Amino acid sequence: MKNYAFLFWAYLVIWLGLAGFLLGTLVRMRRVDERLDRLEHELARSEREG
Amino acid sequence: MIRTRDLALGALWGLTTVAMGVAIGLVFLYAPEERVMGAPQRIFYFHVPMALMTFLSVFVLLVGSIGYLWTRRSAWDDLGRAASDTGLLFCTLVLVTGPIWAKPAWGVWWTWEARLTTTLLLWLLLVGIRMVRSYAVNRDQGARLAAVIGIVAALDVPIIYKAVDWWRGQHPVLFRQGGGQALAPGMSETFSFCIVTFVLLFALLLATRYRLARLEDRSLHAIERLRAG
Repeated sequence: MKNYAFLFWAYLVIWLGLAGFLLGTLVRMRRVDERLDRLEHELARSEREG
Repeated sequence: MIRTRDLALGALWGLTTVAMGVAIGLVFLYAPEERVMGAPQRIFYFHVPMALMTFLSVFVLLVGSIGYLWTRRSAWDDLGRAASDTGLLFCTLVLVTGPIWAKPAWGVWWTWEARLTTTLLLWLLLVGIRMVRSYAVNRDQGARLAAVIGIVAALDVPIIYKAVDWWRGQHPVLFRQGGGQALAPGMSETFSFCIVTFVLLFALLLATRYRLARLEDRSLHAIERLRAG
């Protein structure tokens, strides 16, 4: 049973690492997507206004 | 409207999740217990594929770095950025899971063995890439420096691979000319499936990170256009 403690921690680290990386990427992607929408909207407005 | 790219990424997400579930099942329920090391050996089914994915990431980083230095097109730099981040993640997990196995197997968390040391060197180079990107005066300078470090990092990969032979290290060897350590039936199928799973995971992480880099590029471009009036 003592041996399984190592496995538990090892796999926990892997899952946390992978999930953290994926979640972080998705959150950043959503933020950049929203910022891009806002910027493109502003660009279109400034081009309309000349 | 849902784009084909989104559908492909969604399908990759689904496939990777299912494959990861099956891989976990195989590792804990199907693969036989190793006689000498016992349960801690089961970390090897994820540790080795992650090391291979680190190498694959660095190969993509090399392609992106050479592509950027050759053409100066941002798409190559974005590929390098995605690959170095993915490589850093896998390399970090390799360096964390290795000692978790080493403690029960060798009795120590870390030793300055050749393969471990050269892998740590690769990790430091990948961290260096992130640092030069953050501290560079402008985007082009950061991309150029990152590309050069990316090429140096790629030179470290064959050294990591051959380190055990060149410096007679104690790290277990699975792949060697003329045969490494043979795997028992049940272990080899599990290991092969884990490699396929991690290739899928690598593709998913790289594609997601590349898409983020492209979006950030477009966003920077839009800011520059707005400032230019």
